[in-house]
Amino acid sequence: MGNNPNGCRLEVRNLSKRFGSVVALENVSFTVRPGEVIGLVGDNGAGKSTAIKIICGFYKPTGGTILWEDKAIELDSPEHARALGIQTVYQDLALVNTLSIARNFFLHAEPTHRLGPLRFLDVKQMNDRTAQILRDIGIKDLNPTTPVSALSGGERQAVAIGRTYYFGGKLLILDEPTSALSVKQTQKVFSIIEEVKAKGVSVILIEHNMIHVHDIADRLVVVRHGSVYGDYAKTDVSVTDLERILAGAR
Amino acid sequence: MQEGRLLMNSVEEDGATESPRTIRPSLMHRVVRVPELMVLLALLIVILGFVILAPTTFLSPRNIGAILTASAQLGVAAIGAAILIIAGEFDISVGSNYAFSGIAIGLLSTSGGFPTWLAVIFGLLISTAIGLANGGITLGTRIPSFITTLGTWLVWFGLTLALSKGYFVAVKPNDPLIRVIGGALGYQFYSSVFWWVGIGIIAIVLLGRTALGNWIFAVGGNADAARAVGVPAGRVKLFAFGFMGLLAGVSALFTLGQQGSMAPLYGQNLALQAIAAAVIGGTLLTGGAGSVLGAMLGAVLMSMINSGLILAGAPTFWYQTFVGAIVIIAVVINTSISRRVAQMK
Repeated sequence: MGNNPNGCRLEVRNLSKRFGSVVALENVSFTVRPGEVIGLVGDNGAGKSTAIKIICGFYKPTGGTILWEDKAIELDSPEHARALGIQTVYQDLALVNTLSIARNFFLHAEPTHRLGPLRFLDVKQMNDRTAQILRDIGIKDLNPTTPVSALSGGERQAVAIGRTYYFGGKLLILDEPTSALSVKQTQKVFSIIEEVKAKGVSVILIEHNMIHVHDIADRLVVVRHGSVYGDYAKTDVSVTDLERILAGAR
Repeated sequence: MQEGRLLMNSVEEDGATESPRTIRPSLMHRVVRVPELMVLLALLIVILGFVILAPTTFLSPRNIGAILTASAQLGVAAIGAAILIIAGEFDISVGSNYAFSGIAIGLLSTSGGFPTWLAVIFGLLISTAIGLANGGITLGTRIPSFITTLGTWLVWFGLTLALSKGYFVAVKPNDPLIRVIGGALGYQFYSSVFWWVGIGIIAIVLLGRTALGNWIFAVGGNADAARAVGVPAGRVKLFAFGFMGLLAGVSALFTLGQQGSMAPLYGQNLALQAIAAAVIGGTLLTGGAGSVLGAMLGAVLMSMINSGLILAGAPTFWYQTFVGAIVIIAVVINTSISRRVAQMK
């Protein structure tokens, strides 16, 4: 992971997107390096989601280039993006509440024994591997057979993030992962982000809470009216600066 | 964000507050994990009650045979209903499918001149196709299946009347294959019970121990999450509809085996009774959780109540009242479970 010449996992250059006559994005450029957490911030409608949807393969850009590990690519579909290692964790869509952690973890990637047309689950392997991964990412006290409905919001985010990492996620896109969480739960999610970051995974974080995003991100990309207004290293910008920039963007 | 969040359509998008809570599994999560618990308890109470009310007759071999045979006919449809509800869908048209395929088998094997085995295969193909059609219409129109199958229930029923011209249709008397499928074995015990148990075991394994089973739970529990990781949600639901249709045909075969004939008016309560059995057996009406074994036990419970009321000398119309009350109790318990599950998002 991340031994490419200029060290970029993802680079977008002059990305533009128009919906009819509406310009949603105009010449947006930024980079994401391996093991880097980028905070993508901006007011509602600034274009964060459009940018993310392009990176996830949902939208095709009207103009511009996407480079994945220094190679120009065209994303055909969300499946294509996922296969490259671009994984998105949606806040409410990530997990099936009525299923156990292990069954969620391996959903659509179940370890199975094939017998004719049927694929029989290797339940033991599912549970053992899930327990191992949970320990790896620093969640120690959860049993893989526990239904997800029994987990706290932070634990759910942690499980969802752990799953994308386990299945080859190289760039995780987290869409407001902490918006419904308490302070303690938020810390839990951030500690998981730190864990996967330490393993070389890159993260793009969309977050409305400037204190949170400043806490966890290495770099902050401010989007305003469909363009990049600023790209700051965390040390160059304070929470107050960020809030001022965003307020000025209204 | 004017674009809205990626793919997000949850009603709880905002304002979900986190309440402090322990990780220790609550009673509710135990019930979610062992959905048959409730119906087992109910069975125990009902057996005890009828043993007291009808001590000599209720546990006689003849009565046990009769209860199990009735359970097989309802229970095989309940298996399909449970799987379909777990997948997040309903089929109200099951009764019409049952009557239509039974009459089709009867007509094909008699006036159609087909050998019985071929008529049976055609009949099951027809019932499966009807199930798939229900699914196709539902998924194609994106109308709730409760409504689409309410419509197809009448459509298939009309076709049943047209096909039968309103008359009973009989199969060949003493046909060996029909006897194997649903013939009498003595003590009011019919061979359909074995088929039912066999199908039940297959369905339990399918749901609990295969990848497809995992996907069925997932599309019913959170179809968007399942799609997001690549589960072909439409095809999984279509499978559940088709399987429901197939089992409606099997239920019709059981009736043909038991009675030798099918009437166009038979089975009009079958869909709701099958759904009732599934719900009594712990299947959540909201999808994503439930049990084939529970649905089978739910069918036994309903058959037991029917038989017990007769033996206890109560007028049989109390059966409906009784089952209705139990369904409401079951749904109240299930909904309080699923509501709390939903609140925990």
